[in-house]
Amino acid sequence: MNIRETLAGFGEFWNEFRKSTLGLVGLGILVLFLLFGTFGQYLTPFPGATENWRNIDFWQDNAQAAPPVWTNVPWGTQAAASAFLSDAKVEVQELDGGVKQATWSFAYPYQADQAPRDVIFAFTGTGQVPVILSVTRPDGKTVEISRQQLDLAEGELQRVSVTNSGAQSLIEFIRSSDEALASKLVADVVKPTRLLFAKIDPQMAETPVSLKGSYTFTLTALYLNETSKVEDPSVRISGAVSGLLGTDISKRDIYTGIVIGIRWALIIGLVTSLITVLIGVLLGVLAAYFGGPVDWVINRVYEYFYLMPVIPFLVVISAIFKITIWALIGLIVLFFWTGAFKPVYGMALQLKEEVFVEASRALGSSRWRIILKHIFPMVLPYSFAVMALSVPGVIVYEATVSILGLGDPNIVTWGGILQAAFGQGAVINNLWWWVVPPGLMIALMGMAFVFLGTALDKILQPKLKTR
Amino acid sequence: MTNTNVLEVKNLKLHYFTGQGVVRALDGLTFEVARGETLGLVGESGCGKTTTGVALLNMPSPPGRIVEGQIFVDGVDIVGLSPRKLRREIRWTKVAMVFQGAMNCLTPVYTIRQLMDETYREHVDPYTKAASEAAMKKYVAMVGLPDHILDRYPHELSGGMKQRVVIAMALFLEPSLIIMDEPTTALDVIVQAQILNLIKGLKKDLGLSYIFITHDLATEAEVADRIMVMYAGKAVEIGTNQQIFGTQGPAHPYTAKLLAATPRLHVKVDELAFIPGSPPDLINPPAGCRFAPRCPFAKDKCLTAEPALTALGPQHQVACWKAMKDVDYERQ
Repeated sequence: MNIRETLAGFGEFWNEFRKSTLGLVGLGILVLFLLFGTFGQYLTPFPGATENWRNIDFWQDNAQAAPPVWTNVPWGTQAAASAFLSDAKVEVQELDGGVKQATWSFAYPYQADQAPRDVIFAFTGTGQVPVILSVTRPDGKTVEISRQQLDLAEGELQRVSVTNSGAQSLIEFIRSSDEALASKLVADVVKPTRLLFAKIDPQMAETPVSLKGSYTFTLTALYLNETSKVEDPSVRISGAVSGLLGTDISKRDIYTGIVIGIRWALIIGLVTSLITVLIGVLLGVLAAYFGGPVDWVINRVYEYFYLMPVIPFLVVISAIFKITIWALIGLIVLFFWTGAFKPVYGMALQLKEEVFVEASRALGSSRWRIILKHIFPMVLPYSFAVMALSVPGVIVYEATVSILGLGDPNIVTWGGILQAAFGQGAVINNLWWWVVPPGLMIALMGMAFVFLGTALDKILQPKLKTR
Repeated sequence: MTNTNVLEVKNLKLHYFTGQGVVRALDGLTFEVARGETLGLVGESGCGKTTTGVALLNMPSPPGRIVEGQIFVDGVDIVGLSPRKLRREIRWTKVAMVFQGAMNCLTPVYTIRQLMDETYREHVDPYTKAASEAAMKKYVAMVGLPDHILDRYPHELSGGMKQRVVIAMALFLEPSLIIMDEPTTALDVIVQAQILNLIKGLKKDLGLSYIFITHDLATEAEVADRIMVMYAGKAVEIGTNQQIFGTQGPAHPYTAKLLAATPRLHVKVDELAFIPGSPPDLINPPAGCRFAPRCPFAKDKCLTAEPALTALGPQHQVACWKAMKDVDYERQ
């Protein structure tokens, strides 16, 4: 019967809630956030990003500071997007003397005007394997990027970047058709991918004209003996544009960062506001109900934390201790419970004089019973509203602390992304896609909770007045 | 002590310890209530009626404290009892109270069923849901309400219905004594009459003992068997309904003044009678009779010596030098 009553109560609540457009918008945004916070990390292009956010190797195949893909507007220049090629045509040939030759061919249709930042051949190999990496262009010419004699430990990962090690090969390639141009090029200065994806003409170094069509990246390996082998070859294109929200200077995908940041924003916001409000309400009710010395002590403690400047305090604390996110939540709770305390204290002072409290005493209720069953439920609706309204405050606070560089370095938060952006000159370098999305997300999440809180406030406050 | 008395109060003193001084809200109160009897408590606002009621639950609100005296409920002195014993064995099981402004007695966030069930669960051992449910239905029916109000929240009920619920809750555990603190004050006259009839009917059917607190003498005349008139924390006159309201009139000048100040339907009055002055300061009560400064019959004796409650006749006690025909008073 209790479940039925609760359901009925909830139905009634929902009927009222439905009338509030703001509340529904807030709820919608929150549900989206919850879905993305729960499943989003599996939908990002980089599944292990949560653990590897600060691992440079994890991101090394990405483009650096690349704008989002949707900056390729139909009427503008098309920049090559990032791509990951793993489907290869494999050919294995028996050569003389028991030597095998394996060839992987990756097809890459290229239709952009602006060349990608880099093309990376990656594979794992074992033992002695001579490899040849080459690119066949749509004009039928083949560029040999690198020819290496590798001696690999078992399963060692090998990466060959065109940008890093292809400059000289490309100059040689140009020399075969235009001697004069090649002699003007300096290996340290040219951008190899721009040459690779350009039509051969005298101006190709300064104003390359992109050669559109199908490119084939070929990896040829020789297995000199039984143990040597090459596995999992792939070609990664580091685009001139990358991902839904671009990349940062450390080559990290910002969309992935935003998605995995949702979880922490929700955890920080909800956990912190839940605990702060609970503590604030409990202390408020206790101080008011017990009065006397209890009241005095709690109020003095309140004043202490209310008047204490938080940021300097946190700066000092984080200078001494290494702050984890849980410690940070603890510290925020320590200062934020004051928000709910005074209003609840005031309400409880009034409530404890109510006849029903006296009646409950006459009925033989103990003090704790009166507090928990007769005063607490009366301030609970208010607490819910305060809780929803304090979530954005807490999220912004964590972001503030992170921007100051005092956050937990082991987790991904929007504040942390912003801090990296400011620290590494995103604003000066015009990397707007690094700054705007996390800022917007903080605002959006704050907005969702404010909408919810306002709607709750409207529904729950009149209930208090019906007495 | 005789077993016919549900309640015996002896020399009860309850003081409020405020920053300004000690307020002697109850200063040596002695009375008793017999089984099946209704004792009416009347007096001006602030004379200690409600304080008396709360004291009988040994539940003075801070900074108040019972400093002296004994309260025997069914022969058990409740003054020295531990809070736990008070909660378990006295409050509501022995003595129940219907509070002033009873409509605010019901915590607004619970249904009537939840509120009544909580009471039952707290006090009845062993608790069974069926027994609790049966008791609820019985008493709700007894106060003339339909079953379905059990599922209502307090704000969904009218004032009269809430009052009935509160009375049902007071009856619920079948206490020895029910204190009614102005149970009809906030209600309109029709509902007042209904509630008073209900109270009288219940008394007749269940043989309940009441203490009925009100400042409305007409109501008191209706329901009370005996009347205790209080003034400034003391009982000034205790007598039967007949002795107080009868043709020969009350013995104490204060009671007489109180009666005279009651508007009457069939007598044309140009100006209502009232008692000049105001009740004395209870921190520094006047020496002598506390009513003396406002009493038209006050003489020197009244201002210096305090009269004790003295038997005037069978069941009739009064604290007044004039009524007691004191020799010194007569001479002055």
